[in-house]
Amino acid sequence: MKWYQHFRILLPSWKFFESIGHEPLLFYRLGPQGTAWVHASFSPKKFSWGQLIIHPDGNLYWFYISTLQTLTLQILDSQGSQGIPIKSKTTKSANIIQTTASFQILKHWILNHVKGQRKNAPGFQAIKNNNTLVQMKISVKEPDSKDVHDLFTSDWYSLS
Amino acid sequence: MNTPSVLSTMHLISQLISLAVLLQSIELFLITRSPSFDLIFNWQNLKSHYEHGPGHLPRWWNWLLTKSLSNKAYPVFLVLMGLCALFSFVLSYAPAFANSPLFLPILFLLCLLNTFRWLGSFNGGSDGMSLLILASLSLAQIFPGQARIFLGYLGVQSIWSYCIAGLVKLRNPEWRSGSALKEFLARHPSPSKAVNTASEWLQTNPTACKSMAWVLMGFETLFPVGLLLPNGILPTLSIAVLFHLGNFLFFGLNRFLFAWIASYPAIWWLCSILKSKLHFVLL
Repeated sequence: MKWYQHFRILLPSWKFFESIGHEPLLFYRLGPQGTAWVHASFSPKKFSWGQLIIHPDGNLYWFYISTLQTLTLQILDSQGSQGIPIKSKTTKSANIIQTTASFQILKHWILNHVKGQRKNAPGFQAIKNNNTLVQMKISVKEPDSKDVHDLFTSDWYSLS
Repeated sequence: MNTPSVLSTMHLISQLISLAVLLQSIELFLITRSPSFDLIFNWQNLKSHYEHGPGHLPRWWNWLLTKSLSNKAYPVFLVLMGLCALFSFVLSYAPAFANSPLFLPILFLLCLLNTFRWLGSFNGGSDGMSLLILASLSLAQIFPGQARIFLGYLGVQSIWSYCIAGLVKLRNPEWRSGSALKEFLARHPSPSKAVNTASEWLQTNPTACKSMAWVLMGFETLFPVGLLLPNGILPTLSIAVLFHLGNFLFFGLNRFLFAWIASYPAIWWLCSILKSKLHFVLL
């Protein structure tokens, strides 16, 4: 990418919601024992008319969605035409993906979310100390179907 | 119908876009107040997006980004952006400052810099429209002799934004069958109970969903036609406002409403001119 291509926002395409395509999904689980995968969704839970003026949560949610889409495209690019799921520590591309800015944002988003959940949510009672590990998985769901394909599984990350 | 003057059109757009950017700055500032902001959106991490690879940014631009967007500097940057928008709005009432190229060019540069804090854009289309308005208006203020060209460009882009969004949907069989709308509604549930009930009803009624999809595609595609109908500008723009309100209710997209409304005076001005020319030719 040439440096001036970072300014592509100045030439918007306006092709909003052009096609549905695959839906990227982000899951996480806790370790080291490896619990069941939990879908990470950050859609706002409360509605008010004031959100028409100021809506930080709603706009953060859309930023989360676009970051997840960017990361999914980066994973698909690194897979090439083979379409083989990338597992952590198995390939060079897994390491490259985990250094991207979009992965780092999502990783910290999830770690922060897990830390915030540990006191209240029933599924998080296992977390007793900061040695708990978290792993992430990116999958895609076919449009109009329940089929979900795994694309990428990250390394384990410590909560501390 | 009277054609509004170029100056009054520019004046109104500058007030509307200043208000829109002020709201955007407040929203982003509130986000930076979250205790986890520095961790999740750490500038050292985000900066790597621009530093590596063959297409890295020039050194001076990199320096500018770091000075304005680092974790410490960013809240101050947002306050400055908000104040600039506020001054631009307030001073537009002072005859000495109205339409003078003072705050809007600065606001354009600040908004452009801000997109780099969010890997290219924070809110896609609304960032694009805000920047387009700020760029067109700044140029119109800097080169008042060519103001008509820049206003016309803004009007055409704003009209095109609806029309092309409709045309690409029309081309897609998933949109024509209603399944695309159903999928979008299912993927992004609304936090409003009433809206969610309506959304679920649409998802379980294929005929209603397909009809709704065709209403949306019809409105977007025929947007320019509606504007050129006799006395068609106000009703068409009113429907467009309702369309953006619907996007807010169903998908929480509030920023689009204010960014697009700020471009409506340019549409009004452009269509008034086109209609008067068309009337003259027909006579």
